[in-house]
Amino acid sequence: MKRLLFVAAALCAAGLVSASPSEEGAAEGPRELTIWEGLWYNAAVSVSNLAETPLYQEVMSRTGVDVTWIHPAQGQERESFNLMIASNDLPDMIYTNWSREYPGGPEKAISDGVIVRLNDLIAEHAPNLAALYAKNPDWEKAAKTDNGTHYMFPFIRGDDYLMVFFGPQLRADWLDQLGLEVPETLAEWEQVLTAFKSEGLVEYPLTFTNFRRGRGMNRSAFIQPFGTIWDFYRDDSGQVGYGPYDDEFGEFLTFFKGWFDKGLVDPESFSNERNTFDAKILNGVAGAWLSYTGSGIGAYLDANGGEGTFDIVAAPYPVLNEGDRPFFGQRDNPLPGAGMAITTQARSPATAARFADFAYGEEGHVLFNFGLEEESYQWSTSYPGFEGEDWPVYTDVMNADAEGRTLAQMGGLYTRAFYSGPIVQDRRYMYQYARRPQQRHAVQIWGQTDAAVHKLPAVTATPDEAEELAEMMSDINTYIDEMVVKFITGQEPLASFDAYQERLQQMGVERAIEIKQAGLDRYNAR
Amino acid sequence: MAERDSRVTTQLLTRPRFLGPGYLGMLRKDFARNRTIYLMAVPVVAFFLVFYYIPMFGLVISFKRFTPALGVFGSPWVGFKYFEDFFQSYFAVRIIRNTILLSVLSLIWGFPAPIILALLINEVRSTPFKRSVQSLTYLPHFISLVVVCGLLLEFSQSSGLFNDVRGWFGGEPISFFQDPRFFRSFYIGSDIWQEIGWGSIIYLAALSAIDPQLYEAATIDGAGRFRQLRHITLPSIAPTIVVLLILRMGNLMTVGHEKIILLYNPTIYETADVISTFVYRKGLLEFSWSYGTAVGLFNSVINLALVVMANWISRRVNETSLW
Amino acid sequence: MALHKRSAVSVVFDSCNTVFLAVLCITMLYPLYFVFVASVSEGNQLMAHTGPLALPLGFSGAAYKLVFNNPLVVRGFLNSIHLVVVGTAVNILLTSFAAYVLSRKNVYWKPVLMIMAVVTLLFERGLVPFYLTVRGLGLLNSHWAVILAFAISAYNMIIMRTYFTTIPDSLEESAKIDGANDFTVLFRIILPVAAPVVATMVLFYGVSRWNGYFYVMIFLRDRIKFPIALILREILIANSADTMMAGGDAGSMGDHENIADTIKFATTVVATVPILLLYPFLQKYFVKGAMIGSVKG
Repeated sequence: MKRLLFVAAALCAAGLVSASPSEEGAAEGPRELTIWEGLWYNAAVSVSNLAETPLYQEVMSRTGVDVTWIHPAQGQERESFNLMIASNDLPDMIYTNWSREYPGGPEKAISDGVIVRLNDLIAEHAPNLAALYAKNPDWEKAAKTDNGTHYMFPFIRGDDYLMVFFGPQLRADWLDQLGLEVPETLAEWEQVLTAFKSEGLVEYPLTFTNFRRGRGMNRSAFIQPFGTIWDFYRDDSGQVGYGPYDDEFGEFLTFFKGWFDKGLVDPESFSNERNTFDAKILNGVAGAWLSYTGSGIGAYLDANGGEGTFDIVAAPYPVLNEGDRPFFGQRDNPLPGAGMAITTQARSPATAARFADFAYGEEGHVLFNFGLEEESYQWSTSYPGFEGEDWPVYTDVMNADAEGRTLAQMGGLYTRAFYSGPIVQDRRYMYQYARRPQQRHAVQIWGQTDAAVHKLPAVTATPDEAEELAEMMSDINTYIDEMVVKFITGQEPLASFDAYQERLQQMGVERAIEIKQAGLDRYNAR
Repeated sequence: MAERDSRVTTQLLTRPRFLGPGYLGMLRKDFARNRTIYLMAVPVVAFFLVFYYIPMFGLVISFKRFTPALGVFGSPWVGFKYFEDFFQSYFAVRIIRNTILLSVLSLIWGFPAPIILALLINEVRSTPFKRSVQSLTYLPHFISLVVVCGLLLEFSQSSGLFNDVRGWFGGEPISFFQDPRFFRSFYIGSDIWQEIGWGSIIYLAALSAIDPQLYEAATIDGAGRFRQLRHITLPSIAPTIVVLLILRMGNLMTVGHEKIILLYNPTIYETADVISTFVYRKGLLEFSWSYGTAVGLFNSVINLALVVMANWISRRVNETSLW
Repeated sequence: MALHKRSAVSVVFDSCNTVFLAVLCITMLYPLYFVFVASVSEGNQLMAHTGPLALPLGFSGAAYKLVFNNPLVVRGFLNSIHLVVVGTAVNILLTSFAAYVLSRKNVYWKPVLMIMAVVTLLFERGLVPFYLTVRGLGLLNSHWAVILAFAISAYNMIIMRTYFTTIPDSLEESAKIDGANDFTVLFRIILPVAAPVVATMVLFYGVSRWNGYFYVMIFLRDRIKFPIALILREILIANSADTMMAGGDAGSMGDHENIADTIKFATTVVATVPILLLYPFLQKYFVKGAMIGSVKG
């Protein structure tokens, strides 16, 4: 038996010894790359590998690099990413959100020997990206870690217009029918919702999808009037706070429980999956909700548009008192954190860097945002509203697919602008994707908040802090998720909010805030 | 894939002959005689070694701080750190409690169900009806867990089938998968739905093995059906029941993660989160490989202890033993 | 149990029993029926509908058309067949080897093998170490990873062994006298006699091969290698989940959303029917095999 174990151990060892990282110096190396990346479901409708898309066929022929992707099963991206890291069996490049998905963040990923520092590679092989950074120092600041380490070819939202895409929406036709204005304060919101309910239009006027952790803005829209959010934030004096630990959060709970008890909120708000949620809106069993510009307003109007009795209007982020400016609203950072990194096992880091850099040049930029000229777009100087400007306008190949695929699904084939990628996203894509007046109006009014002040930039933690934080926040988030539901549904009396805060303190929430504060201080010092 | 299958079986309990003192000559003779048999055993042994024992060896990462780049061997030892972390965790007590409760309740409700079904089917006189009932009740077993859970979630929405039926009786709609109180019932209920027919096979087999003369004799003595049930049927299948029950006890701390992961959401963690799902989240979603492995190992050790205990009981009650 | 002796209580019991079992059968069948009916309904009507369905709402094959237009579904189907056929063949081969060895008398090391197998029932192999092992063998991204890693289930092995032990020794002895070796005995004599338990094993293994998605998901990297069960899982959950990659407002529903539900149901039908079809062919053997394998110790 002992010998068997020995053999087992030996076999095991053989499997685990990692391939030594290839030498950076190998000037050219193979002109082929493997990239790990989740496949966007709108692209998965048509292809099983991004390499098959017309976009990447073109990119490959222009760059002369042969690329294959490794795509995890949808809905299983995190597990797959985890196992890939655990097995230390890495492709040449990985596209993910390093600050969010890699516990410990990018610095840790580098010190763990997963990805490489890119500073030299960018200087040497990525002239386009380097030029962009020279022109936009803020982008470079956000792309680096505190130590000044570059680690990714980032996804960049190239314009303010692209950063706001989510907010409160209401049934415009119902408002008209009842002669009501679009609500601004919470009191007005309550009037509107109550009217929707009492007039018999809908049983539960306000609905949410997954009103819980990990769904970002979804839950903060009605919290922010109280001056806090369900996340870490930066207060007016520049100090980091954590919303669920604030007293204001208790005020929100009290208030929101009131709505819940009055039947103004869909009791399934805590578990609605996206498709259930969409169905509720389309079937008229919801009067107000939070959703996106494109896959929300645009998609709902597309689906129900013909009937003329279904219309949507965006409402501003609510406030407590008339004339206040919203404390917070959805506003993405220009660099949301996603980016393509080169791994320590890349066969030719130089080839990888040059391949990635292509997207940041003028030629690559248009290609990645609009696809192939004369196929998916045509240049025009007469795009409505922007006459005189040179616009790459999507053709009918995109807008009216013969097989009935949607614009977003075609966008998944010809561009990366429709989801994300190591590119600079172009506002001209968004104008064409969200072309309805309701959508443009939405982007405009949702942008009028103090989110830019209060949102924490993409701060990084040191590897040790990051591990501590990850362990703490995992328990803290689970606890908060449950308690919030219990408070709102009444399974837990609001009187025990103090006990809840105390418990959070025991779980180390103050240490977490401290770590975030340190991260912010370092960020400001960059 | 169903590795742990509770419709098992008496055979586990047959005692393999004890390994006697190995005389070299005897061994040589044994090898000579059974050469082809040992040849046959080679791929089998290789399978168990490679796909079970090597991965089990990897469980040492419970005691190490596993870092992929350093590998299993290079990672530094940390002793019982992760076990201590687990026991100090706010959720340890809860997930252990949930695991045991879910498992015990599954046993209480899920174990007798196929026995009752088998007894009821056994009482049916019309053979075609009997056959149809048997065949139809097996059906759900063939359906993928993904589909079963998908349907369950669909039906239990506030606008779903279950609430429509409740509505007929004047009940208010309830969002079942948002209220921790309902999770266990739905979990166990759907388990019974899926496996009751399948589970009844073994009992039907035992029932069909009962000598019909016993019933005839009882009928002549004037015993009614319920007395026959009590005095003939139940005693005849009792050994099967006892054996299966004991085996089930050994798995008392085991609740698989696949089904729960398909069903749960954080609002019902309070009742739905069990050891295996916790291990899954730690090990696969939060990159805490060592921590996750440690908790899994803890679970396995408990299982082993339970099996040893169950085996001890079975030796007393049944005079059979696993080893 | 002659009819004339039935008492009133007995009659009442029989009626109740019949009614109860009938209701039970409906409970078993209705969800399946619902899936089928929903899959051929008009998408819009289905989306607007709440409550039980008795008949299809309208009639439309659009969902099926879309399902079969999805290249991955057809691919997945072939992959599943590959996994089931090759996988089950490997299962049967290795399990019968194991069962044969364990059913022999006078094999000195037999108990060691038995203990080795039983331990695997009790100890979970840690997922990460398991993954590392499979990767170490170079099986990642290959169907062989799941085919080999699940080649023997110890439970099934024990059932098969028990069946083998019930086969009279005389059959085997006469063959041995004719000079047959153990492989010949197993393939020519034991397996044909043990057809019921083989059918049972085909069913046990086949079903789990067909429905298995978890480890396939873990071990496969190329989407074109995915079996139908995994595609089904993606379709059932994909649109509802925010993927970690999406950079924000990623998505659109348009025309497809209206029939998204019917697509789900149609895929479910497509992924479930083949395995249901297998059952009637094996049923008559299978009940017998399961019985003898499991009950008689």
